[in-house]
This record gives sequence, structure tokens and C-alpha cells, in this order.
Amino acid sequence: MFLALRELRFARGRFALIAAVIALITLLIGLLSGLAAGLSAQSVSAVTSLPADQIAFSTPANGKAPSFAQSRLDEVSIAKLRDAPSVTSASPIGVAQSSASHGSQHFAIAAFGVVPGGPIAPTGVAGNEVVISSGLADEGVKVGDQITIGTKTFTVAGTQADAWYNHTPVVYVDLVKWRELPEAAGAAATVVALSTSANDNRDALQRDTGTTLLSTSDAKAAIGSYSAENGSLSLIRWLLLGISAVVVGAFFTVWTMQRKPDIAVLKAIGASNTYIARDAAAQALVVLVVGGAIGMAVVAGLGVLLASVVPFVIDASTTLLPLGLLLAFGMIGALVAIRQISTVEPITALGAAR
Amino acid sequence: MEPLQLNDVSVTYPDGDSEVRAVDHVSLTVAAGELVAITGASGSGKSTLLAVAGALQRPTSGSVTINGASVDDLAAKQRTELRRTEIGFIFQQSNLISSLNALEQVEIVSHLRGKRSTAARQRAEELLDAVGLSVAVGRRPHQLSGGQRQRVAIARALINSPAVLLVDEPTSALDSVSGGAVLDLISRLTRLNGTSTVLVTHDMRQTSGIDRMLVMSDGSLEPTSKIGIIESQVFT
Repeated sequence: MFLALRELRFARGRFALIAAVIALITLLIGLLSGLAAGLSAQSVSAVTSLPADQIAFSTPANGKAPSFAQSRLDEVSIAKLRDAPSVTSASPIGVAQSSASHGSQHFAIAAFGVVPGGPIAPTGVAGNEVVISSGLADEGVKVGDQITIGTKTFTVAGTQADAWYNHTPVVYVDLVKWRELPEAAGAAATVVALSTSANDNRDALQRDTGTTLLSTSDAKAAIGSYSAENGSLSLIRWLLLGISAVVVGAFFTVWTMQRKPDIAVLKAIGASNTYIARDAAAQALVVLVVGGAIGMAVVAGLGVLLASVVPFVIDASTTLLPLGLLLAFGMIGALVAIRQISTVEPITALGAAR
Repeated sequence: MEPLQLNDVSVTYPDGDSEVRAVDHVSLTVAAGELVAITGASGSGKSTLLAVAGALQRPTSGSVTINGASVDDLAAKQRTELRRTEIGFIFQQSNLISSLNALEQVEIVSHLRGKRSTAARQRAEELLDAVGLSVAVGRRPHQLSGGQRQRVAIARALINSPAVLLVDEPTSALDSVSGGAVLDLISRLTRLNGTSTVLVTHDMRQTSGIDRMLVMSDGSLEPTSKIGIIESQVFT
């Protein structure tokens, strides 16, 4: 670090410029990560928070991937799942995109039909009484109010913490009442949330029940909007990480080229390739850490402000993880550039040698 | 055994179908505390000889021994280590690192050897004092005059007490007064530290303190008696 720190001090303008570029890229990646996580939570939180380890879907035709939109389970399939030896708990869930009216207000909602008193059902769901998630409560719907879903009127009996499905707040209704909604289209349930024993055989269970099982985490992909949104945002995020590697690599390529006479002198007076490369790598790391930390600090600050306006999540997965990836990609770019140190011939320090 | 020995060294470069012989069967031994100056016209092979003597370039044939160790079979890494421990370089344009101040220019050589102690810094300060730059330790190269830069380069070359000191045209960018002072300094420190010093120079006006003056012509080292002839080749 002897030379690295002194060069940082000497060429502070150039290094400040590249650190600012890194900070801006970090800002973009951080904002995108926070927004992607926020959108994801608004798309899947009602599914990922289910107290189950597997979700059973009806097996789609033509080998397609299972989806909440297409899945329809009948009573026979539900009974088979419930009776399977490896299943410790089976909770049928009806999922329907619908709309709700509250006075003159109209909301797009996801109606989750659950068995009252079951492991999935929030306390208060029974008959014509429903539990709403906080997204709807934020719109002014209170406990004791009446809301209309389809043609049926329900009383709000309670409020559930954040639960979203496909960007709509979830309303938990009695499964029996859910089956009466036109969106249910005659299905007994959409999916079944399963808790299974540790030694379960997933293939056998799928074969025996005629269903397709996904882990609760993988079931996110069965929500159409999640895959589309997440895929696009992830692609942009990876592209930004790639750009950061190229930007850092380009800067250190030019920087190393400018330093070639100095590197030749250092080698002539006995500096090894390892010494010079380690010094340059430390320099790259300092620039990346400083730029990345500034960018992520701005993300955290902006995130606090944005979270009240748009879906935005600030946690380790949206700050530390992208920062770590940025450092890794940036270092890859820098190390590729630093490789050219080994090609500098010390003899060039003797200007007139050839 | 003398610190620097070149035995029948030749260096050739391919040149189309033929080859150029930059150094032609040169043998040279430099004793401890001896200052040998090599002069000659541009392209005569002086700097190539210096590169070979400094383990920067392998000779096509012949052998080089530095402080008793043969350089010929050393790998690049070992040559680097040899330069770090046994050889000091003073370059034509001083070749100081632009981001370092005078003290750090000298100190970095100790860092390359893994010495990061206060003693190493003290030694660097002493050397800068010895070359008359104690007041300029915090100055960067662009804040130093040409003569001062060369004096920093001298301190840098000597901090590890090398057995061999190789000096490439140290006065080419200096006026005669500064050039003379730099040559005097090199001469004085050569005796004081007991280094074997080879000085490549065009400048034949300054000869005080030089033990032997050799002339290089077409890759060969000529005896000093021919200085007059070569002088006319160099300066006309």
C-alpha cells in the first residue's frame, strides 16, 4: 500500500472521478435492488410467508410450468394430499384476483380462500367475516367496515400484517365463501399448502396425488407478474454490474498505461510483479470501497424517503449484497487491467538501451 | 573476487537477414570503490552493456558475475531480487516516481525489501542529507531542479548499500555546474561506500574522480589511449 496510497493522494482528481462513477453505478444498482425487492414483496409476500414448505398445484397440460392462474384442484386431489403419509398438514387455499368495494372506493384485491381455524387462516376469518391485509387498511378500510367482493358483502373482522399477491392487497375469506366467487370457477381450491415430514418423497407424492409440488420459495415463479418483473430488473442489475467491471477495468487500463514508465523503473530497482500488482489491486479496492460506500449511503438515505411512495426494501439483500457484487465485479475488471503490469520490461527504464 | 565481472559478453539483435552486434566480446572487471566511466558515440552499445551488467538483459553469450553470484542462469524473479539487493541504478532522466516526494523516492527501495522501520526512514533521511537535500525531503519531482532530481536518484540507488552502482548518462540533462557536482557526488560516494561503479556518459568534460575511462565503439571497449580519436567522433 506504500505506493498505492501515495498515488491516490497524488492523482486525487482522477481517482475522485472514478470513485464518483462507481458511486453512481452503486446508486443505480442499489435503487434497482431496493425497488426490485419492493416490487417482489408486493407480488409474492402472501405466498412466501405461508407457514408451509411445499405448495401443491394441479399439473398443467403439455408439460408447462405450474401457475397460480391456471391451477385448479378438486376435493379428491385435496383429500389425497391430506391423507398422504408424508404430509403432516395440508391447507387448501383459493386464490382469485378480484375487486372489492368499500363505500364509493373500489380496489383491486387478491381473495385468498382459507379454512377458518386452519394453520393458514388469520384469526377472525369465518363465514361472512374477512381479514384484510395492511395494504387495504392503508386505504382507509377499518375493522367493522363492510366490503363487497363480487356480489357478496363481508364484514372486516381483523387486519393482517403486510400480505400482497400480484401487486394487490390480500383479503382472507372463508374458503366456502371463496368458492362462491365467480373467479373460483368451480374449483375447490387453487393450491394446497403442505407441511411435509423430512423424509418425504416428492416424486412419489406428486405421482400419487396427480399434483405438481413446488417449494414455497420456488412458488414465486408461479406468479406470472413476478417472473416477468424480476427477470427484467435482474437483467438490468447484472448489466450494471458488468458495466461497473468494464468501467473500472477501462480506468485501470489507462492508468496502468500512464504508469508504465514508473513501473519499468520500479522493476529495474527490484520491485517484483507481485509487489506492483498487489499495490495496484489495493488501489482499485480502495476506489471501489469508497465509491461503493458513498453510493450505498445515498441509496439508504433515498430508500427511507422512497419507501413511503413506492415499494422499496432496504435490507442486507438490497444494500450489502449488491455492494459486495459490485466490489467483486469491479475487482475482476481491475485485475484484468492490472495484468499488463507483467508485460512492462524493466529495461525500458534505460531509455537508450535499444 | 571483484563485485562486478563481465567476461567475454556479447549481445546481438536480429536485423532482417543479418544481425547487429550491440556488444562485441566485452570483458570488464570493476573493483570495490572503483569508478569506471564508459563513453562513446550514440548507438555504440553503452546502454546495452549497462543493461547486461544490471541484470536487465541477458547477454547472447559470455557471463556476468555480481558480488560473486553468476547472473547467467538466474530466472527473472531471481534477477529482480538481485537488482533489489546488489545493484543500484541511476538513470538518464533521474526517472523518479512522480507521485512520491524526495524522501519517499528513497524510502520505497527499503519497502521493496520489506523494511518498513523507522530506521529505514532515518537511513533515507541521512542519505538525502548526504547528497545535500535535507531541506527538500517533502518535495515532489516537479518541485526539484534537474540536479536535485539526480541527487535524489543517487540517494535512492545507494540506500540498500549495493555492491554495484550503474549510472546511465546522469548529466545529460544538466548544465556543466550541476553535472560536475553530480559526478563529484557519485565519485565521493563510490569511495565512501566501496561500490563498484560503472558510469556511462557522453560528457567527457568532467573526468575528476574517475579511476578508469573506457571508450565504447561499435560494441567493443577500446583502450583509453584512443580517447582523443573517439572524442572527435563524439563531439564533431
